[in-house]
Amino acid sequence: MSYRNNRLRTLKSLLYSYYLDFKVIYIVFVSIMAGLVLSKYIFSPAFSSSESGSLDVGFVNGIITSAISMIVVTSNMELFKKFSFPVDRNLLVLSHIIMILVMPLVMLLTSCFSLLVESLLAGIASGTAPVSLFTWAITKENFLVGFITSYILTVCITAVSWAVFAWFYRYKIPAGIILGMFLVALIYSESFRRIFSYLVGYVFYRPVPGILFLRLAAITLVSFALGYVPIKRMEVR
Amino acid sequence: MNKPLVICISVILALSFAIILIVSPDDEEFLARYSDENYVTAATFDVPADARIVKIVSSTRPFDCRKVTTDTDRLEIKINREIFGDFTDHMLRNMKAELHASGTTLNLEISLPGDMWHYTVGTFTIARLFDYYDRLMDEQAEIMICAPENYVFE
Repeated sequence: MSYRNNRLRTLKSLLYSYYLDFKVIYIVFVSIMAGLVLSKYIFSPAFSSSESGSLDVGFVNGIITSAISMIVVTSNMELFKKFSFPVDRNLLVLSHIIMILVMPLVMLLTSCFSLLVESLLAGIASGTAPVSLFTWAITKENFLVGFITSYILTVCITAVSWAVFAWFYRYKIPAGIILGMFLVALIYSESFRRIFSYLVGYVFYRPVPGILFLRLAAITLVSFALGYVPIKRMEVR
Repeated sequence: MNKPLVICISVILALSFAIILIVSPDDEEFLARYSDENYVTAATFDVPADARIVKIVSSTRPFDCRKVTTDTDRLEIKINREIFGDFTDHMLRNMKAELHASGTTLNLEISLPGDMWHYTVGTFTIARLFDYYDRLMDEQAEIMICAPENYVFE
């Protein structure tokens, strides 16, 4: 029992440490969102002929920021910083997985907040315009489906990025060669490109929400398993 | 960041999500807003009965336009009346529509005096990945142009 309590306490402190790291990533994310909302006012006065893109911008921004943060999180320097007794490899991977699951959710919720702020500003601007057309093109269902799809896709891409960089930092030369070969084949080999496009297309071809979520969840789980291997086998000085 | 601030931010984020859900209509209400009976005729044109092409030469921005063929024998421009703000009245009062025949093509020109302030609150575009939501989002149109069945839109 006390062993379990110790593990929980360790996980909690590890997560707190990652939460402090996440603050920097989150500030970058929020700055980009704020910049985009403000730029609409600066470059498109009174939001004339404008469309709200807060949700899409938040989604794309979330994917890029999360994927880049995985490059940092999996680096040797960052991992060694977290290793202090009683943190072990399993707890480290678990905290990474929790981070991968929570970070996109917070980012997407922030984009919802950004949408409301943007709509409020647009509402104020519409009051000053002689003629206005304000359209709310969101329905409960398309918002929920869009939110869940965006979340699962962001988690999936972040998990793939985590697994790739977990391998890359531990086995730089073999991983580098495989990644290089993959990129070269993708650019120069027509048949490889066709196979790769087929596989990506298979995931997204005429999807039904439930099936797509299952496919993406399966890719995420495989990525978690693949990323666990090099971290489990890494040497800690 | 201290604990109360984190709790406050978490509540704001959760509320943002809830507010969007609460203020958004469901699919049925959304479709009802863009159903045929919610459009009022703003302009009509008598057109030849033989099959021809209708081409909208002027840009119909900032509004979205739906093109349909019906069993009418005329070309009609209809405006949605379920739109927030004074758009419908303004369009009915000020919209200018002209039809010019050029060979087998009818050029429809729609114009508006002055600038119009326009803002659309859009959802996640990724929802269009699913056929049902793609069709649902295509239903949104402030203007509907109805042509006889034997006409085609270019």
